[in-house]
Amino acid sequence: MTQKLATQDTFGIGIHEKEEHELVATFYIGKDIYGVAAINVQEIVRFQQMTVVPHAPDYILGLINLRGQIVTSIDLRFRLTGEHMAVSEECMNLILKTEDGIYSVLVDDVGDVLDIGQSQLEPPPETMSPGMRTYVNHICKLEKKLLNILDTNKIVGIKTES
Amino acid sequence: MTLIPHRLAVMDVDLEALNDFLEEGCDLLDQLEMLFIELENNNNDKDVLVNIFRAVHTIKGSSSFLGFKNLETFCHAAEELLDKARNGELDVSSDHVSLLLAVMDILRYCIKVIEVKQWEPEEDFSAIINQLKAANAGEAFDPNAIDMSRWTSDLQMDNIESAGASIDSEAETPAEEKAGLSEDATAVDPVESEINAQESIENPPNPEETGAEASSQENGSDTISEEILNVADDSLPDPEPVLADDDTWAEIEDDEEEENEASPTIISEVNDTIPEKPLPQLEEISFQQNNETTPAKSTNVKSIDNTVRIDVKLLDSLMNMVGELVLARNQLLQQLNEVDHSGTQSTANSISLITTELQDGIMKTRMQPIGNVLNKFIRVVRDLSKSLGKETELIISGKETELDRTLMEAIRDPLTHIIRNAIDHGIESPEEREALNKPREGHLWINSYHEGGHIVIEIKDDGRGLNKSKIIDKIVDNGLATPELVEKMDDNEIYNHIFEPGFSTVGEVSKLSGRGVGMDVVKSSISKIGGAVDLQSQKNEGTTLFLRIPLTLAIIPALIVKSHQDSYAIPQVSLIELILLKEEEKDMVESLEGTEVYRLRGKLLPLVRLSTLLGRESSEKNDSYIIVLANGANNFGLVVDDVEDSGEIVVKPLSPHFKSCEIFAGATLMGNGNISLILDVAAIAQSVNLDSRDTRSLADKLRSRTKNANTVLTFHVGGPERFGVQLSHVARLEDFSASDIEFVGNRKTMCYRGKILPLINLSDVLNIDEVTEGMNLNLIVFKAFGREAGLIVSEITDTVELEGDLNSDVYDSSAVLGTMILKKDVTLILDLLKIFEYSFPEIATNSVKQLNINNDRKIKTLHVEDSAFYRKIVKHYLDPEFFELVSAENGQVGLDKIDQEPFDLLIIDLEMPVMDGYSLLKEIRKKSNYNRVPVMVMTALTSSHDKSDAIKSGIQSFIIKLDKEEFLSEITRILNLRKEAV
Repeated sequence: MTQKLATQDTFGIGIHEKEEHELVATFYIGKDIYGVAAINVQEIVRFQQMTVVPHAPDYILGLINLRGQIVTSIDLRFRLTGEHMAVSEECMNLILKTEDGIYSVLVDDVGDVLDIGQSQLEPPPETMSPGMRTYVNHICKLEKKLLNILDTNKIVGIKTES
Repeated sequence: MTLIPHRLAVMDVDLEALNDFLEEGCDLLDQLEMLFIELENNNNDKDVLVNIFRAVHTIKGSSSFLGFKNLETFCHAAEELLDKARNGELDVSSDHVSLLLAVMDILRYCIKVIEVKQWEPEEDFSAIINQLKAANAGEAFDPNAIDMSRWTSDLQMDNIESAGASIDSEAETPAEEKAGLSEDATAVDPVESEINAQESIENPPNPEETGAEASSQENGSDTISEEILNVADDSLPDPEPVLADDDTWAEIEDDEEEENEASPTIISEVNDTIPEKPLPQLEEISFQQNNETTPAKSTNVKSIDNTVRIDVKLLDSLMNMVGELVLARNQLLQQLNEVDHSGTQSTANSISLITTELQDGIMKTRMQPIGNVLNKFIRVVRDLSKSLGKETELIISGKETELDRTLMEAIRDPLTHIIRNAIDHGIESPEEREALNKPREGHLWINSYHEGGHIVIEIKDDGRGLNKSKIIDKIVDNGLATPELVEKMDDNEIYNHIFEPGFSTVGEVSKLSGRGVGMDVVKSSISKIGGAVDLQSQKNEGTTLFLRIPLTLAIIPALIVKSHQDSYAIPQVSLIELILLKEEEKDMVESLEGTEVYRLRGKLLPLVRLSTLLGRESSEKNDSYIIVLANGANNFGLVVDDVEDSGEIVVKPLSPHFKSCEIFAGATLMGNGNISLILDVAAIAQSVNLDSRDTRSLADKLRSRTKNANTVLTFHVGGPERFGVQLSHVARLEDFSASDIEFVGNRKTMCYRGKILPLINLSDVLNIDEVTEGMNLNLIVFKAFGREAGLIVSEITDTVELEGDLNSDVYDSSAVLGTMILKKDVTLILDLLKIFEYSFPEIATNSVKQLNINNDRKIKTLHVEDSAFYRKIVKHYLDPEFFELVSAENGQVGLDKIDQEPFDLLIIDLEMPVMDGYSLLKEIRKKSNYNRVPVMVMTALTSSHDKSDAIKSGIQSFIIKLDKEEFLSEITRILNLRKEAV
């Protein structure tokens, strides 16, 4: 599994040596900013009516209808912080392409797409909370703040519950 | 001839040709199977023989083209025999057919091997070839002497596959085998050269075609041939099976060479007959053969144009897209309903129409006549009957019924199992049948037809039927039910137990009735595709199985229901009926130990609330629906808030995240774009642990509850007096010892199941001997005023049916209802509620207060009841402080009393002499001044029929004799009702 993920690792730990720069799509959950590789973002759509599935795991918000396709929506906030997302009409669906197909991650707002160079990236520090560390691939040192870049496959994964 | 060209030959042939060969081979073999059976029924039918010959010849030709020498030689031997038969030089016997069927099985095996290894099996065909030659020469032969297990067993196939994947160590062919192979090769040499010559006569190689193939292949050929080479290398056969075989094999090999000498002469005969033109009536079959793109066949090319081979994956994706289109169409129509635009409307309508047609069309492309599967069973039935010494005729009807091809695959194994069972266990031996005055020949009918959006496949035999007593034994042995429960089951319920896992009534597993799979597997594989199995059986008349399967998997008819605001879809296949449960009928739902049941035409239907399943509060809605769903033989009711609509839905699977949501089978998009979840009926039944056993025990409990009202539990408390309490009041009996007693204040309690249980010493209430220390103590746990309490007794003796009269004069205490002579002993019948009230006045007061109906005067009550016992009990229950009670012993007396004076409340029994309760009620209703008077029926009858009858005749309450608490609360309720009305 690790190896498989590594080959998908678009930020390249020496795999894609030529690509020094990578596009990262940023988004907000509450006040916190996060990023995912832009290449894995299919699209961003406004809030869609959510069908709640009884007995579903906590990190699942429900199902949305994406132009005739039924897409599972993930509560990323719950996965990262253990607190549930405050679902409202203002939320956006970040539609991610992953190994398991298409998923929606509900976010409060979307930010810019940043062009980030290799040198700006660092592995997550050991001291990061284990819940967060599961999903964070890299930390990006922006000028004013730090950006957590998340692993798309992990945030929609089934077994990553810690 | 050397060995090397063998291996390299495949490099020259492109993969496409190989695939064509495999496809064609399978089709031809299917045809052959049918033809052989036809041949047997229709001895020496020349047309059939010509067709068989042609099919075998085609296989031989293709094998030769691809360089499969073994296969070619083998086909050739079969062809010789067929040729003779075709020319009328041979009388085809059943043995011949068996031999040829064996040939077919081996061919099938070969094709499988070729599919896996991309090369022909290098096993020894000499045994079968020798038999064929013997048959051909008119010598004695025995088709059964050939060990077919090596060709037909699945195990063998596994070996091949694992051998294919196994490592290089085996790739080096042992020298012995090489020797054996080369020997084989030389032995067949003369034959081969003849065949090649003949091949070139009939099918001159088509230079254009092969040329084109070669050039188109050139670019990619390097890699492809490398691949082929690798595969071929890896898949060198394990020499073991060839060498380590029975002695018979060795013997046959010895004979081989002599036999071979005879062959060349026969070949020449073959050559003579080949140019024969096909007979006109055979066109259909030759057309089928030509559908396959066989490079070797270039005649009748035109007919190829009519059909196209399409990858099933493409069809599947088309199907998916059409599903999406249907949804989009539905959304479009719904949105257009909201706006008024006639032009768009009509365009939308035509889109809608086209979509429907498109959907039908795409569905049709995936449909195949069910005959494709059913025809296979002709052979199965034939072989099975033969090996079991039975005579069976298979009658198939409804072959043309069409079914989605994915479903076709899914029903094949269950059907095979059912058919094997029918012949193995169902149909008797001819002798047995004759003894039973049945025709010697058993019959097996397979019928299929459409019914309500489903396909029903009926498999019926006229055999001995299921062995009821054996099944009952098995049910009891497996602990599925107690003998008493089994007695209450009807035949259908008993028979349906054969679908339980691990339920085989046959002592030993015969090799015929399957690979250790039982009917449970049949059931589960049918329900996996959304189908259902049912069964009927009659002793000595046979068994019929019904398989009900959906037309297709992707689009299913469903009923849309609502819980709160959300819609859910229920597949129609499990739907039986809908019941509207009106607000005023809500009390028709009864509760038994936390399980709700509904009496549906006299049978108990366990209920499941959808809102509970979804983990929500049950809604406050007034009316609701009970959806009766089938779960095997056991139905259950799903209570939903509303039923919306029925329609076709496209099933979309849920992502694996929803593993924990077992009750959903998938999701679908509704016309309005919302997503609805599809309920999985079988999983719901499982999740609430509903099965037949539960419902039956519930029924027992309901019955026993009625019975308990008339049964008394007798016991002693220290002294010699015998006491009794009504069993219906008793919750449990417990053993306990004096050391368990703990004191809270001055009150005795004990810790019981994590709660504090207050204890009552009867000597505190009555003037009797106290229970002494060291005695073996028992506890009667009962419920009163919503609380549990325990009565300490020394010995529990018996349960006795109430009989005779209750004498309330002897013992004057409010805690004693009266005395009664039960089984010749005087028994004091206790009033547990009174005892509780006396012991824990503070708990009881609240409840008692409810009875303070705040009336300015006493409530005048008439009790019409024939049993003196109940008359006394009611008198005892109704506090004289509030009630003025008049009793009557039958309806007529009651009516007279009503005429004499007005009453505020009537309590009536239904079963009475002279005039029964129903007639009395009718009479009372005629009196205008009694319209508003509340009536309570108190009866031992408990059928829903009685209850609904009684409620129709206008009574307000209906209770079962005789639970004091229930009685009092009912009285309170109906009196309050009356007050509200006033």
